[in-house]
Amino acid sequence: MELPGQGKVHSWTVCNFAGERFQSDVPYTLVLVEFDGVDTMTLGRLENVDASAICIGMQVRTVSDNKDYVRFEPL
Amino acid sequence: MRPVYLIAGGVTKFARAYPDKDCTRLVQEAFDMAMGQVPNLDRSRINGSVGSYFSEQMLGRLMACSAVHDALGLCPTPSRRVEGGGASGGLCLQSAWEAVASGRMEVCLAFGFEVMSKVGGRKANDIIALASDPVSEVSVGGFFSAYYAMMARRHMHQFGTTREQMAMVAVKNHANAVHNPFAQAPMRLGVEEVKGSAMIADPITLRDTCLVSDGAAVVLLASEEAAMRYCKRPVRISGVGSATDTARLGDRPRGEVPLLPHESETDYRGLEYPGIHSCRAGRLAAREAYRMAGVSDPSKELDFVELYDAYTSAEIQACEALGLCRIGHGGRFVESGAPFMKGVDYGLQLSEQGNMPVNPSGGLLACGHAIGATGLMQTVFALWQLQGSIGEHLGDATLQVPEAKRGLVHTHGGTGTCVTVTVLERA
Repeated sequence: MELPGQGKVHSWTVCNFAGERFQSDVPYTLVLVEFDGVDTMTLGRLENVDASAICIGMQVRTVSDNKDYVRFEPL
Repeated sequence: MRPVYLIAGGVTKFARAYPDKDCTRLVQEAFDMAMGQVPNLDRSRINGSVGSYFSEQMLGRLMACSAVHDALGLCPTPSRRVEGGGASGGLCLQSAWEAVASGRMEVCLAFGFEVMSKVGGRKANDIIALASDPVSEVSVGGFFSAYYAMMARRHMHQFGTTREQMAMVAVKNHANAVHNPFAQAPMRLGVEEVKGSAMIADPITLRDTCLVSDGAAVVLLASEEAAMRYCKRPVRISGVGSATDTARLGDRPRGEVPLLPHESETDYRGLEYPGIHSCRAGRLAAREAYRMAGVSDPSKELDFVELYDAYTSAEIQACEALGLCRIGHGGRFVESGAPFMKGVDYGLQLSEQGNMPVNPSGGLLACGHAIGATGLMQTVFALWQLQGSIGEHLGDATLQVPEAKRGLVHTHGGTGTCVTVTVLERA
């Protein structure tokens, strides 16, 4: 599925704990992102942002690269 | 459908690990406790069993319910397993209820267990995360504490719920458990201690979450005739409801609130529901159970509730789903003191202490969460409340709700993906 380029943060959390699989990534930020005209939300990592700046409603865009998980960064 | 009764219940204390006991041994102990309450019932009179456990990967074996059924001496009667994550025990109870209500069985055993200690906490976390979507959720680093953290944050944003209100749930449930010898984590905590404990996934701290556990629980269900023959204080299952929601948290629709009998459309005008701030399956399960039990205002007609509180925020959401307070008022409901117990000192100023006790046992937060056993553990404590036998079984009557006539057990799996609500009444 092709994600729209821009959306906004519906909710978020900074994970200070993870299971074995993602332990080396801690701390990392998860965001649930809403897109206009799309009736589902997408879970992804929010990167390139200071945790104190994150808020519900924050505008984000998808990051395109070779990593195998969905990533966002502030607009 | 004919009336069905609970006639006995047993639990093992939930613990971090029982290195010397396998699942058959754990269930055997809970079963022996239950059978001790109905001395005239020979096990040859049990017509079959329904069992529940969550994870083969954690347990390290398959067909474990068949093995337990055999170990209890119940072959060649029928046995089956049901599973629905954290709601497994509730589904097990309701499946056993169906067996008796339909007339297929006169006496049916419902048992549940979980052995989580073999794999260790981090690995257990990875395995439990597989109850969410492997492609779109787990692969990103999603796990359940993170999902509940996002749900809690949205609840805070939408309704003004505070960290302090969440922490008060942990204070309450851990303090209740001080009077429950079967609880894994009894302790006296303060609000600041809960808030200041290790951050798992902001805003969820270590003390906002339950522990992983090994343990087992069972209840025996019977027809009216069998219940009256074997049990002096049977408890009737008067309402049964269950419902589901989308497997992915991000797929939750936003529509109208399913109303409970005491609510009106004007209560929730303009509220987008459920999104991730609320639990629709809990509401629908409650509505079905209330209809069957004839409950028109749960906030006035229930004497206590045992509900799913794997996270402090989950208790707040469940209180709203069940209609103990309005949707969005769960934080204020906790702050009022209503869900606390009379007669327990929490070190807090509470204006309405004890008006609607929630998780008198200590809940999952303090009793532990041996996933497949949890719903039945909740049911056992509710049974003892309605029999007035809390003091007898716990060796301390502090947690006995006086004159308890009607109680409710709420079990919940996934992110509210599968929920059961069962109403119980003193016969």
